[in-house]
Amino acid sequence: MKFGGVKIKGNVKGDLMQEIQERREGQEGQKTGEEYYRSILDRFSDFFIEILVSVISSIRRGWREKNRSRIAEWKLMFYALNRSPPGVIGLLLVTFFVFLGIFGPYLAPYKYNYFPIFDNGDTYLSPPGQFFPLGADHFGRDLVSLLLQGARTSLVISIIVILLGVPLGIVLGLVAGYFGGKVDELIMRITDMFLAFPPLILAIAFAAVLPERISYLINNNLLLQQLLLWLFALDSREAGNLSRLLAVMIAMAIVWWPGYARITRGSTLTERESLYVESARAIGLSSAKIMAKHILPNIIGPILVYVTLDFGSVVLTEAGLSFLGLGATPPIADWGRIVYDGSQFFPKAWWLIIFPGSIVLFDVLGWNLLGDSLRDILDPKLRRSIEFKVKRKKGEKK
Amino acid sequence: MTDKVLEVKNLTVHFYTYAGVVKAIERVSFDVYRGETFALVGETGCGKSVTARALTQLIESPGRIVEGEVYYYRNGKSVDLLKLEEEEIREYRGKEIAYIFQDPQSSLDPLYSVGFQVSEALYVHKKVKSIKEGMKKAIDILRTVLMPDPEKRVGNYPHELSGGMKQRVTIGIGISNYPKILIADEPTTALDVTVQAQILNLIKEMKKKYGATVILITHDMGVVADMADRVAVMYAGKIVELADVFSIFKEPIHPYTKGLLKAVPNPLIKIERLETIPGTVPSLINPPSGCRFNPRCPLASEICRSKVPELEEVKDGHFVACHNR
Repeated sequence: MKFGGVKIKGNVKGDLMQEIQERREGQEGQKTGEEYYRSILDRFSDFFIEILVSVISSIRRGWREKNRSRIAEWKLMFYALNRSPPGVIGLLLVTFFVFLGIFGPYLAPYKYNYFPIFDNGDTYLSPPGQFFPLGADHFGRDLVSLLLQGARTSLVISIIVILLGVPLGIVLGLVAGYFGGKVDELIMRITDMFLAFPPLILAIAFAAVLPERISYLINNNLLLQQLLLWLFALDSREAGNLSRLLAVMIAMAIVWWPGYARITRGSTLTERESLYVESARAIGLSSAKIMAKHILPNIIGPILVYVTLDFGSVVLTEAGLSFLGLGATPPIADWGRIVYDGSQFFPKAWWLIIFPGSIVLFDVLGWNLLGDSLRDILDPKLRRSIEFKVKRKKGEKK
Repeated sequence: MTDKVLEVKNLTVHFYTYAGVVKAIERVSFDVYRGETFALVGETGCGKSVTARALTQLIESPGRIVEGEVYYYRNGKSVDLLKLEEEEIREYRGKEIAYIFQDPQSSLDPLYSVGFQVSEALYVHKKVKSIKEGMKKAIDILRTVLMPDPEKRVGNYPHELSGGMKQRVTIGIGISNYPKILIADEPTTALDVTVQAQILNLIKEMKKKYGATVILITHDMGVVADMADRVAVMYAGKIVELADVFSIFKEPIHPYTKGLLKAVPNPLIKIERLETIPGTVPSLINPPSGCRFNPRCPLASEICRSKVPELEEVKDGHFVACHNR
């Protein structure tokens, strides 16, 4: 009896909660008075967000209740993204390439440092379909495996370049914009100097000079060596070639920050004049705190969009550098490097150029499309217009 | 009332712009006594806000404090606030001398809840150990500034509150560290009239409760009459008249003060046309020689154009800078 009683009680409570939930949702619907047509994509993204939210709530209790508006905002963002087909295509492409970058090396049918040519001489530049679906290179290696391995190289390099270059640019831009005067002049003139050089040329110069200096560092720092090998999913045999990869990353980071320093400085200049920055000073906050806690969060939006747009160019520049023979050396797989090696056999072994080339094309295209529509979505005014356009369409149908 | 908390001497602030050096304030001197409400009055651009901000070195480049001393008296000792390093002056900002700015709309960071911002003010001066603890204190502070339903409001963001509520929050931030001096820079200008009275009462209330000294900056003579004990009238970067509030309203001496008072409509008398002061505030890059008010002054004579009048005591505690007194 007691058992049953408890059970009923539990049920009643559950029903009540559900009813409250439903009523609340109903009220919200009435309050906003906005009904959106939810396509399959929207249902899918809502479902995805729900999963994410449940995961977070299971870790931190009460998170869902506290962040109701944030969850709604996320859903709305995805809703707006789903309204722009290029954005969706970009997101799919980017997700696909990030997925490849993470799992590619493990999905690859052959290891990048397995050379079939030693077992079977016929695999030398074998065309697509003969031994491997996309053909083989001059070591007889499977192109699919190389492309999958190359996805990791490209992803890791672009992430590290962004991680090194962007914060450097942001910090310098913040300092220049906030303090102004001579500090500003000094930092911005240095920035101008860096911008005056064509970035590719500068990166080539750095990438050509740096490896010798870095190899010493890598050889003496086992932890760094292991970390890099793990990041690039390489065998410990390749440790000697790491310095060239690292050199490319550093070279690119060095040429990458000036753009960010400029946009950060620009936004900081406008934000610095706002009254809340002055009030922050008036309550005695330190300059560093004001910059980090009040100015940066207010200007981070455009910077993030710029990062997404920039990811594509990092991938492209990296491929370009490897195409010029800097960066990854065989047997490390790298898209640019595959094209470089394949170019010697070009008209005959066309697959060594076409496939890696299109992979780079689609990767860059994906980031650019995503960045472009993110810019529209993160701008509140533009997003509103995206939402309204949809509603008008719905009215016309009726 | 003879206990000084603040002594300002020859404070001069210049702004170095492309058009030239803007002499925003020139040799401004005044004393502020403990527990009083000191009002700085004048039209737009006459240097009221610059004066108030210069007190704790809140002047941004291209502005620079050219000369002057600001003595702050605490426990019988005095410190020159303008001689302190940036790190040292931060101890005074917010803790000893707090500000309430004109526009509550923009003086709160839109990205943080109001509770966080109150809590942050407490946290900087180590009144609380963590932001979280500060949030709890913020509820009490919001209650003292008569915020309705403070438990709920601490979690709100600035855009969710009305202008009056936001100004209450900024006052809350101002008083959170029990400052000795509260500088209210046109605290009611951005608010509508019905809320103005509430906010002014609140400042009075806070002053009584915490024994703070208030420096009130305003262009509204009505607010001055309501709040102030002593008044300094500023014109074009200089103090032209300084006296207690009764003397200012009953026996103004400087022609500018007279003009200012005539420009306030008197609801008891029917008036055909409201009087204005002819002309506009002069450019502070090339201020008129001699008395800066001479181009607009009805009494201007030769001496006014050639010699700068000094602030002199005419009666007990009534200072005027005019040749024609």
